[in-house]
Amino acid sequence: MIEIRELVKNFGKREVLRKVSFSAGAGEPITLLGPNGAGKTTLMRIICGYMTPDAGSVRICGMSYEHNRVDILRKIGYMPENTPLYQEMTVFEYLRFVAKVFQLTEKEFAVGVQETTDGLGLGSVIGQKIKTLSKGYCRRTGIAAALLHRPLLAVLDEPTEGLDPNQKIAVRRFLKDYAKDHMVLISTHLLEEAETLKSHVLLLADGQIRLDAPVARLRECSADGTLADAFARLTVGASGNEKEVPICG
Amino acid sequence: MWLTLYKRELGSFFYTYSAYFIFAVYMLFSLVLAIFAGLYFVVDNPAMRSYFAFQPLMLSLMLPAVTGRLWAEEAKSGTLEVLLTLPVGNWTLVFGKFFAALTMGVLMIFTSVPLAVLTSKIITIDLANLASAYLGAMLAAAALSALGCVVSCLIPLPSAAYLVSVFLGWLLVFLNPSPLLAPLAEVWREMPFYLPLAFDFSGRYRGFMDGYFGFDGVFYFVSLTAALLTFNWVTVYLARRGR
Repeated sequence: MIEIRELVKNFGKREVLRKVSFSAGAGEPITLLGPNGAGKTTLMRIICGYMTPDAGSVRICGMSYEHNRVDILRKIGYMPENTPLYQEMTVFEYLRFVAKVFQLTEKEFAVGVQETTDGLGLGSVIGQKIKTLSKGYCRRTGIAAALLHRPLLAVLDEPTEGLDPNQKIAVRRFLKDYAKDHMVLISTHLLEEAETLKSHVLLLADGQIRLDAPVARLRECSADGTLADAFARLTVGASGNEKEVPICG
Repeated sequence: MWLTLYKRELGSFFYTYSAYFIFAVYMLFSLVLAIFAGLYFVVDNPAMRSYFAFQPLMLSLMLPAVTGRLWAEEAKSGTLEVLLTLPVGNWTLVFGKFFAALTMGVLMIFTSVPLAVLTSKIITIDLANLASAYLGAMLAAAALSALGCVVSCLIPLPSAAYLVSVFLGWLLVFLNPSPLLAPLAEVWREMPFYLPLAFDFSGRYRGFMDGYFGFDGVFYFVSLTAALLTFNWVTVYLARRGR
């Protein structure tokens, strides 16, 4: 269970998050949607303990970073934006490194590697140096590393960015399965992602949650029945648009 | 746990061959200094004094090439975000990086082994004195590695971190604390005469080179390293909490 309460984050005078609150549990993926600069990455970084909020609280499984930092981090699998990986390692070496840090047993590691490499189609590159991998394989390696220890909460920043359509389908299927008994929080600007995953949508714009509802509810906010229109209507004003923000959700 | 991070760090040095390049440069310049400036084969060197006399200079010049990238490279490549969100304590991160740098420093010092073997074929080696000199060099490497770790954590640009580490390393190694403490001596007339010596890096190092294996010298280098690592811990703590 993740509980976010009144989260505020400023960078200088710029308010990036303005009293963001939501809570979620396992069962369905949560898609964090929003235009560029909405505060998605900042919110994810705060949830994963990489940044500290100026105000508000983050509680994961009832624990806070102030008192249980390492315990919380053990329950989280995080893949940051752009998937930074150690280029000199092979995929297998990187996964083993992550397994050791998370103190997995040999058996847990073997099972984790089997599941993630099968599910994400990494089998053919498992012995290959990360430096030589394509962007799509790097992204999938990052996802595999984040989910290797079967975290209660997986936080993935744009996990399907740069993947080809077939890879996107495979990764979404894998994440949907994983979300059945774990919490999965995905940041994306691809509206189709939220729909394909049949996820719960958190629409963030201008540092505020504009919608906290199932994806079907997002569609209801549109005039022409498309997600794009709903997105546009809900995010007006976020990038200096003169229109009023419609009430929805 | 720190061992996992240590192995990864050390592996990255050897993967890019930068480690071999650093060892080669270190060995070459150390030999040039020992032979031409220290007159290694002219004066009597039963404890390789002409060689070890230049080790603080060489270490303060070459170790930053190792430490400069420790944290700064992670920040540059983005892996710092992964590293700082791993379920490990701050000391684990600090020790993993520090011991990797120290290992490189020790390996640099041990590039002198062929010279030691050659010297032993020519003259009788003073083994106790030589062991003391090696220990002194390793303790100096530990202090300079810790300094480099702190700088690398504070400055997220590898090249800038290198330059600042070299500058601060030279200050630490070559700055004589006696003139700095002179104003204090005027105010504090009962100031112990050994106080300036207590902070003298070069003086302490010379002690080891001369074969004086004193625990005060060991204490000086160990406490200096510990203080710098604690500072590194603070910088990591702030990096994890203060963003």
